[in-house]
Amino acid sequence: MNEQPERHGPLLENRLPAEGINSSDEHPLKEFAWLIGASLMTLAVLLALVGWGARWLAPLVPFSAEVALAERMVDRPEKPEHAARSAALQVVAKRVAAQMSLPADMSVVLGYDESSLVNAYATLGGRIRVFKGLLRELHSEDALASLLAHEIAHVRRRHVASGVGLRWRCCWAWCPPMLAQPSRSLR
Amino acid sequence: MLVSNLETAPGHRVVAHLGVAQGSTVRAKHVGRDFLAGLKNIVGGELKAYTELMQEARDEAVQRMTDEARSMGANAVLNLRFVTTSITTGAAEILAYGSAVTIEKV
Amino acid sequence: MPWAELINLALPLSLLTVGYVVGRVLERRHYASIRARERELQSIVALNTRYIPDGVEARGASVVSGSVVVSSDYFKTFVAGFRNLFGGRFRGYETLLERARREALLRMKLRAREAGSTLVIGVRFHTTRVSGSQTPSVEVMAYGTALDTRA
Repeated sequence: MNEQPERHGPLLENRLPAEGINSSDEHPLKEFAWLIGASLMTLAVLLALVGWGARWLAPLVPFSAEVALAERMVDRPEKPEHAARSAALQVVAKRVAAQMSLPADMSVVLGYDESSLVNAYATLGGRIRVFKGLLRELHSEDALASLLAHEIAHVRRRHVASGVGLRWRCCWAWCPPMLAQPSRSLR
Repeated sequence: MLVSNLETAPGHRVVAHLGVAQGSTVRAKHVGRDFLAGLKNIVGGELKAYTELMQEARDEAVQRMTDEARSMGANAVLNLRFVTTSITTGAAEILAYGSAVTIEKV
Repeated sequence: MPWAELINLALPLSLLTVGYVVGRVLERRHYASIRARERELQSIVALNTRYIPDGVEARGASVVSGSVVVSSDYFKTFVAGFRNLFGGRFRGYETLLERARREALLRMKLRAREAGSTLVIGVRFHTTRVSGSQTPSVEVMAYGTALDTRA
């Protein structure tokens, strides 16, 4: 206390204020946990939204990315005796694709599968596989051309990508997306 | 509680000076408002979100200052002053300080 | 190589832990020191008034100031990064700045005592951000006029 005995005028002193007014007693880890929790929840919500829209967002991924993925995951070494058949299919596909005005940056790669399934499918990166079983059922080159036109249409409209997106939505984060999209058979 | 930036309180007499009462707060707006303010930077003009932020921060700082003054036993704060500092981008500290005094009517 | 990724994660985590643990300890110690010195220097009166109070006879005056630069620790900065996203009060920074202000005021009072004064008027605070790369550092300065009231 600072008081000069014969002084008039106001009292002059410094009183200590209460603690905790300008600072916080709350444990910093509590705030940290709350903020981390809120961030994780926001992230989860955002991921859920992206996952939900994957079906529509996946086709926006450039085709070149699909091709890169296909090279890694879909392509497999071909037996030499099948190479000639794949090449023949590729010739027909090239003619059909030219008629369908497939964009310049998209191309299809044909593959022959010796399984006796009666089916054909389009998968990532413009890869189209035709099974031996289906080829046996086709009776003319025009029929083959129609089949290939159907598959090329899937590729052009990016159905494969949105299919991946759709499966991503269904098995979100837990199942790997299925890569093949078997098409309905031509029968 | 009377809060003034004058040296004296009109119609009152200072009986005791009890020290300097301080109130401060550091606040930020959330990232959504930051983003909108960033867009506003293109056209210029008042950033309403930040004006609001600073106003809230100032009110809170003055509130804390009066809380401190009350805890010192004062019933008024004179010589109010504000100090503003930017701590990080998007966060500002407002400090309000003044004399914690006891006044009585003359 | 998984080890490289682990190290990438381990380094910030250990900095966070060290920042938190050591930062808390240092903060507690600083506060204890502040409280002790505030009690000790309570006889030096610091006031905000602009004029010499009634009844005080002053033979001389000199400007005294005290300042301190404090820096946030790694943990506080990390938490503040999140806080910036969500808005609201930065509790860590508020505590930091309060520490700095009280320290600056104490250093000013010490200067006044060294000058032989027991009354400081016209106390003002000034806070500046000292540019740091990522971790914010703040300088708080308290200055005032120390009156020589010795008879």
